[in-house]
Amino acid sequence: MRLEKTTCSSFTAFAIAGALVFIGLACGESSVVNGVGDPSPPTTPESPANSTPDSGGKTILGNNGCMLTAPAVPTATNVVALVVDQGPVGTNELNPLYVTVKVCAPGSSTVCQTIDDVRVDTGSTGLRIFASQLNPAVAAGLKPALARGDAGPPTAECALFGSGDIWGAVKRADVHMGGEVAPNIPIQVIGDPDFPLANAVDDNGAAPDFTSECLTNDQKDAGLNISTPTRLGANGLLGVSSFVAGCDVSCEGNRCSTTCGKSYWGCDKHECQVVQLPTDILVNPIAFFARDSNGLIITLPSVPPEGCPRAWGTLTFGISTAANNALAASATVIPLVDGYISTTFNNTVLKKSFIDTGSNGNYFPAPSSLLPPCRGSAGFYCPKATANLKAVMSALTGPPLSVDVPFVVYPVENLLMEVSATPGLAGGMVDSFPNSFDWGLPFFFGRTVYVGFDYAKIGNYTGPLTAF
Amino acid sequence: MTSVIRHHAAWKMAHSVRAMQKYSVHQGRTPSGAVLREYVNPSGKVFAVVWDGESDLQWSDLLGEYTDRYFAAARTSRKGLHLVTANDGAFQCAVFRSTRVWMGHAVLTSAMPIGVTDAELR
Repeated sequence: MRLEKTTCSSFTAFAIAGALVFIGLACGESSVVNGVGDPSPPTTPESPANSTPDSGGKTILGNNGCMLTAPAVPTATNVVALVVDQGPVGTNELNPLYVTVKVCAPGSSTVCQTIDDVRVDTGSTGLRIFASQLNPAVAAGLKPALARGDAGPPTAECALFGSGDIWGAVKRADVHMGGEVAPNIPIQVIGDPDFPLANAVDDNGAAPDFTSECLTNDQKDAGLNISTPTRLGANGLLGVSSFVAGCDVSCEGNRCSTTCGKSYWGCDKHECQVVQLPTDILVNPIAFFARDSNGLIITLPSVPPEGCPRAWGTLTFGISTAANNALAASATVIPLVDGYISTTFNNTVLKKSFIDTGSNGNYFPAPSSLLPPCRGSAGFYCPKATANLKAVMSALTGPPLSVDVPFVVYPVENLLMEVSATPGLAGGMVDSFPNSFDWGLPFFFGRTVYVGFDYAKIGNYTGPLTAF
Repeated sequence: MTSVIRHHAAWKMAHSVRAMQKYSVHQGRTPSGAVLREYVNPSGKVFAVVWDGESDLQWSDLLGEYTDRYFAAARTSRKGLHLVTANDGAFQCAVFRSTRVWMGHAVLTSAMPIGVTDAELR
């Protein structure tokens, strides 16, 4: 991750949604001020007994309210650093959240590769890394996942995201984060040379009998293939949603059912067939740690509406499993139903709302009288100035529960080019879902957000849940 | 947009039709539990498709000749990893797709009966 000092330019351009907007803004000299404003220091929620306070407990801010340097991360085995910045390839995307992971050949402590700029996604499940990030020894040391457990052809996964398709081999690896390890779990190796999408033809060179949507979409429009670091904007993807497994296979006697659909493919000599009942399904690595495996905590600092070049925070493993990850007594705990919560905004109840670090803004329906659309940036709201708004989150199950959630909307076209982290990115308009409030990364700024995994015991609660 | 419900036998067998004042709603469900609703105008054209849940359907099943517009939006105006919205005046859509989630809401405004609002197409 890049940690260079903030720079300012007096004229800059910001490109989003195909529109290029030039903005002239003065940018003052940065000065170092201790403890100004209302930033939450990026430490774990309860002062950890075994951690080192950063900079004497003070957050170092510039006069624009942005952190200038990365704070020290508490030296606990269950805490790792997070950063929001421009990532490995300088994409113009806003609010990507990155972490560093280490993958090792199963059982090895030396055949390992550390990979930074891995995008943290609470909206998906499973670790996906690019083959190009692996040294040859690690690439060779990962264990291919076979279609029938210990037999059958090696498997690949076609993962379908709204923004595009990711195709790659499924292999087993030890996944290390901080001092924790998920041993021998299935991960996806994107762009594995043994599973080239382009070469997926049969021995006669004919079109393959292979109906993976990854392939058909790629043949139709290669732009939907995001299986490169540049297109993904990351060196990998860490899916840590409350769903521990990416899909389910369940059997009663000889009768099995699955939600995996056409995700997993057994491939032999470039002929691939759907694995009907896959045994190696991508999983949330945190849930496979020996301890601190019942959930996660994301803490990000407050960021002013105008945004910051970068912001640093922490990812803590486990909830109420150690001295440094207690569920705060003040936290509101909301159970998840199929991953959803309810949100009421502008007198409209949105019952399929969700919280997702993989969404770069807050997306919700709002009338143009309340939030006018941007002129050049399609799908975004552009109020004349910062709009301070409020929604109410509530539970879809269990005892009635609601909590006010204030948030800001900032005109995206006024953002400076160097801004990566912004709490004010929001959109929707007529093309948003009528039943959903997508609480994206902006929700996390200035908060400590807990994600409790499904079926896990979290203090007196049982997951899946969210809390903040 | 094309009609999945009318063209795919499995959908045709088990679907319900609800007649509204200005359109009809055809609703079906996959074995995996995905729900699909097609909104059909009085001339028989599908002017909106709403779906929720993983299924074996492909983009072209749902969006027909407008699939390319979705693909273009996915390239140029993605809202992070999962969400894509598109609105070129004639065709509007919002799609959220990830592991375990596939929601979509696509509207062909030119074929939408006058007086129908986007908000009622839930």
